[in-house]
Amino acid sequence: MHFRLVAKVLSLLSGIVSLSMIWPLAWSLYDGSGDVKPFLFSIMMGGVLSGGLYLVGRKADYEDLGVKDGFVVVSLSWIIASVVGALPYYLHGAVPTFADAFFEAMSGFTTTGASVISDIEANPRGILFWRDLTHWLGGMGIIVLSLAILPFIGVGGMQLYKAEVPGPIPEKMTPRIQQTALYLWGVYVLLSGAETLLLMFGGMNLFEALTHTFGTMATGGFSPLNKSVGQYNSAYFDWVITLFMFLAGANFALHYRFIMGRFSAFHRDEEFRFYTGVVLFCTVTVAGVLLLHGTYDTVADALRFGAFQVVSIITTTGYVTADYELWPSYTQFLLLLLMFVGACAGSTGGGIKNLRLMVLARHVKAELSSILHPRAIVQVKVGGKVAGKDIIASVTSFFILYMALFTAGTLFMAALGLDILTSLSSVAATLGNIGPGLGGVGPMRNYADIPQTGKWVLSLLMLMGRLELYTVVVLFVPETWRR
Amino acid sequence: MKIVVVGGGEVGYSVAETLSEEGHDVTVVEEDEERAARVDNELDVITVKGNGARPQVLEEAGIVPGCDVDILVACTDHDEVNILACWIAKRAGVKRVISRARGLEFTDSPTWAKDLGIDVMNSPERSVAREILELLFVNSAVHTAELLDGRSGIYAFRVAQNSSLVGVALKELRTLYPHFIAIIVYIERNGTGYIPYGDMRIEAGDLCYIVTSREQAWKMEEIYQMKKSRPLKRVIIIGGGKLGFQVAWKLENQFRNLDIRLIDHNREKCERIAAELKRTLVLCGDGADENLLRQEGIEEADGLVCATESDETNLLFSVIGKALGARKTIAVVRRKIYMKLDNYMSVDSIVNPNSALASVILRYARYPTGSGVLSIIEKIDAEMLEVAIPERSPAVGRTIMSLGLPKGILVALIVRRGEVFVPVGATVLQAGDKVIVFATSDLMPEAVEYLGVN
Repeated sequence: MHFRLVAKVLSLLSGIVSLSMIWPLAWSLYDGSGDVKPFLFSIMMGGVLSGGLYLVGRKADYEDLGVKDGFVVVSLSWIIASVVGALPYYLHGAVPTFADAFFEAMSGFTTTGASVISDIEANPRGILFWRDLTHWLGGMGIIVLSLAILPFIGVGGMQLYKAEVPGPIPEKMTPRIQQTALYLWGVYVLLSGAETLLLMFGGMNLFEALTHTFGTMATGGFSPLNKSVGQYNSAYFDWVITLFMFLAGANFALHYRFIMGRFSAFHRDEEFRFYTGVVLFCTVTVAGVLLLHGTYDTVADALRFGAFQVVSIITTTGYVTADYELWPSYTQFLLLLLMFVGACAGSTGGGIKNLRLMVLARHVKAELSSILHPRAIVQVKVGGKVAGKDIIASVTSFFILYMALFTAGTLFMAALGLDILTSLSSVAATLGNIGPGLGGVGPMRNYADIPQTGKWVLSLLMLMGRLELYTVVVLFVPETWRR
Repeated sequence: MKIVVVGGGEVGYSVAETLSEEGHDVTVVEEDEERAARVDNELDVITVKGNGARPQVLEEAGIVPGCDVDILVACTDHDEVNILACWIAKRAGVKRVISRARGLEFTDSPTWAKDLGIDVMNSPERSVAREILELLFVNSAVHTAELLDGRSGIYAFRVAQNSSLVGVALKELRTLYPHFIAIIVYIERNGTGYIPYGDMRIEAGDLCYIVTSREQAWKMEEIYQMKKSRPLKRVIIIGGGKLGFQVAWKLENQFRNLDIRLIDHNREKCERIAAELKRTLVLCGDGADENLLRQEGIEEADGLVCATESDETNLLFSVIGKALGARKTIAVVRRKIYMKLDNYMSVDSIVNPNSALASVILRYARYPTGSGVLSIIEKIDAEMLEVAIPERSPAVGRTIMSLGLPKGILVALIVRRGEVFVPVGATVLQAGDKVIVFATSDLMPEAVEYLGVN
């Protein structure tokens, strides 16, 4: 552990987060609303924190960044970002306690989209913009952002990149990490721009188009409206947002290749085909059940609401257009399962990820065939490449750890006195970075009523989910803190 | 630049590491899973797993017809793979290809590389064998590297306590020893290196890197070490591999009356070597066998070269040899980390074929159009470059002093119409001069610019 070096990187990160508050500040200045002071004060406090950390770490050398430091830096960066990001909510009084503010900020950065604010529209636009901006920053990753814009982190940056980018085998599109980060953000900005334009074309104003774009592209789920996207009741908005949620849930390396002219990139990617298959299958069955059950009268409506909810949950966005708690239980359970599936590796979404599930399924298949043919040599292949023993081992232990955390979390929430459905789905929805669950945290409700301790635990689960468990879990291993 | 490195072993790793740190886009092709994982984890490069001689694997690394890859470096252990990788790359339009050649036949004559379409082909064993010979010949030199096709070289000498040089300022050297064509380009003192300046005084224990002509090198040791050089009489070589054989063969050819003894534990290998070498006494036995070493006169040996396959064995044999009375011991190692051990163990010189190759590749990748061969001594963070001053260079017709070279850049030698001399500030540069520049690594690009090369 290089403590000074960790302080130096944290100083950078908290500086970036504080500076990004200039955008919501601009909205509040424009509106002349009451959140100008909280933002100014938050920026100042963030600046002081950043400066203090810089003084501690100014002499450290980025080249010393080791494996351990990478994990610690990334986890702590996200925690510090959430602490700084929570200040505006707390200072403005949007939430009653700091635990609530921290929960809201962590939910924002981890692109969970679980909220503790009941009357969202009562808040000024600065606060609402900040909620969605945290999504957008956290979606592609604050570390990846700093790698893209701060070239001097250099070689050590790779440790950070690996600790933050989702997926079992982080992919590099170019030899240099900084370039990769820059391209990823480029694609992200490009897609975000496209969605904003499409939403404005449908009649949203700039503010709503931007906030919804941030919520979609980051697979976050915060909306500046009380009833989320459902408030518009517009098929056009639903389909545009469905499309972009789906794209945000795909591997961004594929988007990059596609934009660079390799149009077969999506088709050739096995994980993307699997992801598309799952989405299509679930959409069709959900729409069918909804029709049979009589929830919707027309095929168009059943498909529109079915597809929106399926994509929203599998990509771990968490926007809602319908109260799915009124839907048949088959669809509810399917959605709960999709919370575990999650998006693709290298996307902005959370969950276990399609790639890991594919590896697991093929590993099981390989085991089966080696039972039938004891002398057979069976290699697990994904995307035409052999997934070696170490990859299978890491995926399996990821799955086990995920389930263990889910179980322990649910047990804890139940111990706090919540009912089973609420405990279970609140943990699944935060660990998977989705947002809305079922029961007490259902689509038409929020997390305001969860006890304080519960909020801290769920905040931690969100962080673990976003950074794919190990990055955060290693913080609890004493070995990490030794020199 | 876009660079593809085929092979991620000791050489490939260090080449890829340096090039990537210099800001190039590097892709490493490596077949071995563990080596590939090491490269992938530790370097900011893309790793492609697979055999570098297969078009499909190279395609994955970006070698496709019409690609914009600038350099391909093939440095696996297999000549076949290296040559094929270079050939495929050249056909795909890669501008420059560099290959390592293990088989010395390929570098025996320059036509092989040309016929194969390879821009640079290098056998580190050959240059290292030459280095070992120099170290044996100039007995008290700690390191050496050749310059100007072997006509001159860089030699590192330790200043002895009783040396007449102690306390002398560098600028006085020329008047004290007017007949010497030599210049001190680098001084290592207590672990810190300096590019020297005129007022700097020499202290006992300094390690001085001197550029001088080959004929005068052995005279240097008389003033640095205050002892008479004596001609080589007996050299013992342990290890009959490629390098050991090459050293023995070269020694046979260069020193008529030298007593050469080569020890290897493999009987078949000994028989083969004995058939190929003329005068060398080939002995089958263990290099750690004290009786054998004593019998073969280790006390009288002027040099002991340890060149077995194992780095550790070579280092230990050198220490043993030194303890038994060999005058100079040289250990061959392939791992970079062992290069620093000569400060801790009683071994006189450590040579490393891998870093020798890596530095050749790096120099070529860095200064592709730089005329002449580059040379480097791995231990110090400074480089030496041979350049010819072109007609249109702004430096033509000017004195070295008026160029205003920054501190850290040194014009060490000039070759003009076959004559080698050490320049002074008032020396006027002429077009066609072959100049040897010495500079710290970060200043070398600037030095090249000052001289108007490229």
